[in-house]
Order: sequence, then C-alpha cells, then structure tokens
Amino acid sequence: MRLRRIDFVSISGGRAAGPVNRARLGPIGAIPARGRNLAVASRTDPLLHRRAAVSRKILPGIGLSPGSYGLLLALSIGLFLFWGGPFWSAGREASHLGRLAVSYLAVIPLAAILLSWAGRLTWTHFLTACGSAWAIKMVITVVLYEAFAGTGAPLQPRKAGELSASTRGAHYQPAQTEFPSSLLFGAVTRDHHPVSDAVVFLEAPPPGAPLLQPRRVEVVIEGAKYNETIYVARRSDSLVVLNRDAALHTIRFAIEGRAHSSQPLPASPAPRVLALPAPGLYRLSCANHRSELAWLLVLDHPYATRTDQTGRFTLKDVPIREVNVSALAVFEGRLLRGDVRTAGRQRGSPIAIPIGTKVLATIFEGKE
Amino acid sequence: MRRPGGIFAAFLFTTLGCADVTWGPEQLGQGKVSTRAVSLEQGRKTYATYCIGCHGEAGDGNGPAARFLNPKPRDFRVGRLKFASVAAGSPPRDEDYLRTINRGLAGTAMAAFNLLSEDGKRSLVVYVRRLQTGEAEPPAPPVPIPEDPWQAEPAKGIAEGQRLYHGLASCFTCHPAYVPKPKIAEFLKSYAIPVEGDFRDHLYDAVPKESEWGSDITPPNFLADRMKAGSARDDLIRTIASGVGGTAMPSWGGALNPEQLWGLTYYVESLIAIRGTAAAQALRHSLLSIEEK
Repeated sequence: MRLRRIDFVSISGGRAAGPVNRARLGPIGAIPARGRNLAVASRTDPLLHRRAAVSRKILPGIGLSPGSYGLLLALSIGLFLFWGGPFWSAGREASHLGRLAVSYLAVIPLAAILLSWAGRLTWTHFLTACGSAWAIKMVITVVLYEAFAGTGAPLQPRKAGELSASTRGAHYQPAQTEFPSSLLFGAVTRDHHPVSDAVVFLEAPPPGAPLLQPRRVEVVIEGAKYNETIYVARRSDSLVVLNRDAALHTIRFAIEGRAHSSQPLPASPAPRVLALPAPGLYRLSCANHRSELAWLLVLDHPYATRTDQTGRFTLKDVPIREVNVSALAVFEGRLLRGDVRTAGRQRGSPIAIPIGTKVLATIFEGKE
Repeated sequence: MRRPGGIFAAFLFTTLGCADVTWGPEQLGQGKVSTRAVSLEQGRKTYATYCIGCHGEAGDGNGPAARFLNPKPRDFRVGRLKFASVAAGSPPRDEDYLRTINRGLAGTAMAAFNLLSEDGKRSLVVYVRRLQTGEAEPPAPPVPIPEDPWQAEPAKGIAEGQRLYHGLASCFTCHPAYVPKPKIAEFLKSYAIPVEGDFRDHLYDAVPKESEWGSDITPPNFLADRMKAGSARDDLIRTIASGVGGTAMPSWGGALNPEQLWGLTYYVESLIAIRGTAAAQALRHSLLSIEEK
C-alpha cells in the first residue's frame, strides 16, 4: 500500500520508531499506549483495528464519517424545512428567521455529540464540522428558497371585525305603487328569556314603506358612558353628540374593525353635529375611556324598531316577500346578533330560527 | 503557491458579476423609469424594487424586514394612511401617498424616495392602491384648512394655542403637558371646564394609546420627538386638522375654529422649535421639579 504521509512517532526513550502510515492509524486520538510499534499494533489490537477501519471512512479534517456528516446536514436542512410549519406552505413575505436560526444553531450541539461519539472531539474537528455543514446547508437552502419560497397560499386579508357589514351597500327604494304588506311581529329571546330594548331591523328589504321624516339622534356621553348601547339612525337623520363630562372624549366610528372616522369631543356644553356615515353597523368608542362603548346602526330604510319589556316587537307595512330580520342586543359589553329569514307567504305560524349567536329572534308573521 | 490577490480578484469578479450594477435610485433618477408611461406594471416593478422588503409582497406591511421595524410598515390592504390630508379613517388622496413617497416619514424606516421619477412615483401609487382588498373607494375630500389668522401676530397665536392645548382641547390627555398643573387648571377654567380631582400620572410624558396598526402608539413629545409627517407649519396644521389615521389622534378640523386650529399649530411649532435644545431640557426639568415639590 502506498503511504500518503510519513510521520515519525516518538516512543519510549525518545527514539524514532520509524515511518508510520498515519492514514491507517487515524488521528492522534487513536494512538495506543507507549512502547508499542504502532504499525504492528494496528494490525493486532482489535480495538485499534476497528478504529483504524472506521478512520478510513472519516471525512478529512471534519472527523465524522460520511453517514454522521450526512445526518448532521439532513437534520439541519430538515429543521429549516419544517420548523414553524412546512417551508413551502409559507408565503414569500413570511419571516423565516426562526427556521434559519434554529437550523443553524442545531448544528452546534449535534456536531459536538457526533464527534464525541466518534471519539474525535477536538476544536479543529468541531469548528470544521460546524463551518462546513453551515456552508453546505446554506447552498442547499438557498436553492430550496428560490425553488419553493412563496409558493404557498397568499396571506389572507385581515379578518373582518366582529360586526357584519351586510347592511352596507344597501340601496333601499320606497315602493312607487301600492304593495302587499303585513305586520311582522314576534319576540327576541336569549336562553328562553325575553330581551328588552333589542334593536330589530330588516336587512336590505324590498321596496316598501316610504322613508321617515328626518329626526335628531342624540348621543349623550356622561360619566364616560353612552346613554344607550345601540343607536339607530337613518341616513337623513342628524347625529348630535353631547359631552357632559369635564374631560376630552373622542368618538370613533369603526366598521369591520377599522375606524371610519374619529372626532374629538372637548368638554363643552355645545353639542357637536356630526355627519352620519354610510349605512352599516358601527362600533363607537373613545380613545381615552375604555368604558365608552356603543353601537350605531345606520339604515337607509324605515324598517327598524326596538323590543319592549317583554321582548316583543312589531314592524308595520312589511312587504309580503322573503325578508331578512335581524336582532341586535348588548350583553356585558358584547354585541350579540340573531338573524332569521322569513318566508314571504307564511302566515301566522312560527318561523324556523337559525341559531348563529346567543340572541334568538322568535318571529311570527301575519296579521295582528 | 496560491496568490491571495488572485483569490480576492476572483471573489470580486464573481460578486460584481452576479450583482445587478444598473440597480439604484440614481439610475431611476436619471429617467430610466420615467421614460415609460404610468402603468400598473411599472408600479409593480418599482414596488418590487423599493417597497417589498418592508411592506411585503401582498402589501400587508409584513415584508422580511418588518419584524425589525418599529413603527411597523403600512398595511396597504386596508387602503388607509396614518398621515393624510383627509379626515382620519377616510380613503387618502394620491397626493398623500406622493407626499410620503417624496418626503418619507421622519424618525422611521420610511425613507424619502424623491429620486424616483414623477411617472415612477405615480405608477407606484397606482400599484399601491391596487393592493387594497375589498371594494375600491374614491379618495375622500381633503380637510379644509382655513386662512391663518395669526400670521401677523404669531405670539398671540402661540398664547392661544397654549391655552387651548391645556384647556379646551386637553391635548395633554395623550401628549405631555408643558405647563405646571396650576396653570392647566387656570386654562381649563378659562373655558368654564371644572377641574375635578388630580391630573393623570406622568403628566409630563406621553401616554401610549391603542391603534389599529398592530401595536400601541405613543403620541409625540414635541420637545423630544421628531414629527413623522413633517415639522413645518403646513404639515402641523394638516396633521392636527386631519388627525392621524388608525390612532387616538382625532380630526380636529371640524371641532375648532380657525383661531384655535392655527393657535394650536403655532404653539406646537414653538415647542418643536426648541426640540433637543437646552431650553427644552430646562423646561422639562422645571416642570418635573415643580411636580416633585
């Protein structure tokens, strides 16, 4: 066999023992006890023989066998691919900082463990193993990034707020001629108990009753609280806000979780007349007082009312067609909603109620 | 024997060879982009070059760099800006986008991209608007800015603004106060506002407020902080009148008369004028020492 490198190893008495095939013997860590000829020992000692056999398979300078080194790389790349979710399912705009950091840092302990297990844990091997693994991993992951990053589904738009916007964009038109109509009456309940002062309204009703005369909707803030929990206004109404506190309030109209407008309400006895927003359900709040919370329902049709103490309500002149009836009530600061679709030709019999929320609207349709 | 110089030269060659040496704002400024018509495609390319790193591919304000930024980059999907000439919460105008592109936002990672050609900027606005999800909305009308009544008497404007800031408008609810408590009480009484109880804690510091932009936002301390939308008088009155979208700062335009609106602007401008100076430090020190007593 051709000797690739000749070393002289000092043994007992400091005499040179002659040339030694270092490739056979492995690294310094595999040198046996003093006083033995290493070349001979490697052939006779079973332990040394095994180590020498293993040493023939180690990667030069790294101290790990190809299998161990492959494991190191595979783990690192695997962590890059799967940490925090499959890499290919993340959008390109997603941050990969976590998977990057973990995949690189994991190499450090794993390299130390593998080297230690192989009995070749030296600083040189450790640094070379880590550095080379990082470099190879980087090349592979860059290729993977270019190939797969951003192939996942695009991020979904921000979730809409808790409130339905189904009343937005409604364009109610009063009927130009006589239309068949009836009373719509029923009750709003929650857990079988009547709900008083719930707002009941039609969503996007068909042409029907004429629009109501404009009126003044007054919002009063006192003690950092609104005087009502749900205000109902028609587009033609005027919205007047009174701040009766000696503190600055703001009134923020939010729809679908985003502010539509934000107005200051300085401490002043003078009322502020604000423009009504487009039809929809708005959450009213103050930037300075968390306790100030209410809702404003803006409609462009006349079909809205409130329940009485027994939870009952009546809507007049409702066109005899399918209509969507909704009920809104506030419990412990939360707006709850119930919706039901009435069958246009059904008379005097209860209508099935979909239970979407905790507010249940029990509605009967027919003549009084 | 290997020559280190040769290795370095090879590295340099490889690196530069891979780089797109035509990239850079100066090239855009020389008209390489402006030669094209305003187009969505042009806007997309400009966005991909300059904006995507922070604002993200979908315009959601969640680009790779967003994690490291505070304040966070704007989410264009909602079609709203913080600083605009329209009432806070309303759809901004093209000039609002252009103003931010041209001037950047002071004290943030949003740099001024005024080296882009005019066509490049306009096509960018067209593209950014297309990132909005949901129905397209027409821009809102700008908040009207009245004539400046204090132009000839700025000192009176400052005095009016100081009274308003600590009185009717109660700006110190969120921003720091800049006068001692007895003076605040005096200002409040001048508007017939009763003083009930003590003032808030840390009256001479700003209060972080909830915002719609994913984190709380602390209103500026005019003696210390930079004004993101600009410190010029026109910038200040625009911000005061329009408010700051998605934050606690409301639109004061409809709530104050011209004297009050401009007075507030003059007063804030007078505070900003001494920002970071010994005078600002002395004012703050005196307020805090009075507080301690």
